[in-house]
Amino acid sequence: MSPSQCLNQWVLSTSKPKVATLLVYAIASSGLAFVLRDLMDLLILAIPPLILSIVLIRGRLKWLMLAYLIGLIGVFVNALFFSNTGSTVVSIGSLEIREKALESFTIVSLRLLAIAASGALFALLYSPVEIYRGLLYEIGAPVSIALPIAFALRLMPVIRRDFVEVVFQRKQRKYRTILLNPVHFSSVVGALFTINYERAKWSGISAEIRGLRRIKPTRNFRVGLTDVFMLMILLSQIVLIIAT
Amino acid sequence: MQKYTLIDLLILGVIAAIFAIIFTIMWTVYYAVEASAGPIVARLLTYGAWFMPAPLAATIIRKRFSALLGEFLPALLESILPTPGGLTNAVYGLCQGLFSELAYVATRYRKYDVSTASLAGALPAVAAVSLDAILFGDIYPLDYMVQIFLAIAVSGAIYGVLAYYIAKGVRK
Repeated sequence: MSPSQCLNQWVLSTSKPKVATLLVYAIASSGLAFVLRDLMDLLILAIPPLILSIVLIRGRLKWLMLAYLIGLIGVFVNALFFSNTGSTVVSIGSLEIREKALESFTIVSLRLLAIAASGALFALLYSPVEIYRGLLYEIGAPVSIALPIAFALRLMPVIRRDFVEVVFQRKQRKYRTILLNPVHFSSVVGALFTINYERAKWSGISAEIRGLRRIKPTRNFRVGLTDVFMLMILLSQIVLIIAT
Repeated sequence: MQKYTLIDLLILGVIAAIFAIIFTIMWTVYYAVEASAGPIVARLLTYGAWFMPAPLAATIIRKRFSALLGEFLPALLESILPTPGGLTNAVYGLCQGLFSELAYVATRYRKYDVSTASLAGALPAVAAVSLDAILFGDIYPLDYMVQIFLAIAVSGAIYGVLAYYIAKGVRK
């Protein structure tokens, strides 16, 4: 068994870090990505969560990285439109890619990579239900946040099915299926919302009739070895960034 | 202060689920429009979609902080799903929700009409432009910045009006 497989087995089978720990890590990484502009600093911020994500998450990370790469097209277009100044680096036909455009593209790409990798570590290591439980029991999120999130997570497969159905019906009527403007958008959202508003209303009435009470759960958080490991990584990243 | 009922919270859950899915799809639409028609048209056509849940939630629920929760919860859920934006989505959601809430604060939570909904759709443009400048380095000459801000605000206002009519249709 390779060292990465050993680490993967150890973390996933014995003790995952707590949701709260990875949330702190993701918030800190995203916050630092907002403020840092130096390439080396951004590399220090992006590489550790990327390696951890590759080792711990593997398969599910592919889709996120694909979305990240698609996003880079937009970042590049933005850089070309707004930062294409300085000396010419590459010339393709009439298109000249200049120094500042490449610099801006690299900085924003690394920034997004740091955010995506730390976000992936938080979101893909757990199931959505585990995250909800973490928010409720470890962080003590208020019911006004935890309950809608729990209901939304429960409802999402149903809404996805509704969405496919609405798009199919639009296709049958020869309407556009890609939501390119506000009118397309509102016709789809309107249909989805009307259906699911009734679901929410009757779920609420049903739960109240059955006597559901909103009781604040007790918080339960014990720091484990993997939590300490994650916080040490964060600390060492901050120290390295300050040192460089 | 009016308390949220269980039904209110579940409606927020529905808004969160619908818009978390829509937000995830809109990233691809935004980049496609940006690549084909440029950043300003892309912002005009799509950005308002990200501000829509706030006026929708406020017009339906009509309680304090409903616009804030309506905007923040889908963004939080989008972060959990996840997307390349990670937890910055939640930060965007929180800031945009706060600006949207200002429209209802300005009326002292008495008016939930179409003009307030369009203002609630337009105001998050301030948060979006500021956060885009900090995160993506979208700081340009003043005339470009004004064009970008206007495109986002107009887009938000249009989607705010649409949100109002969707909510009105549901409330009937």
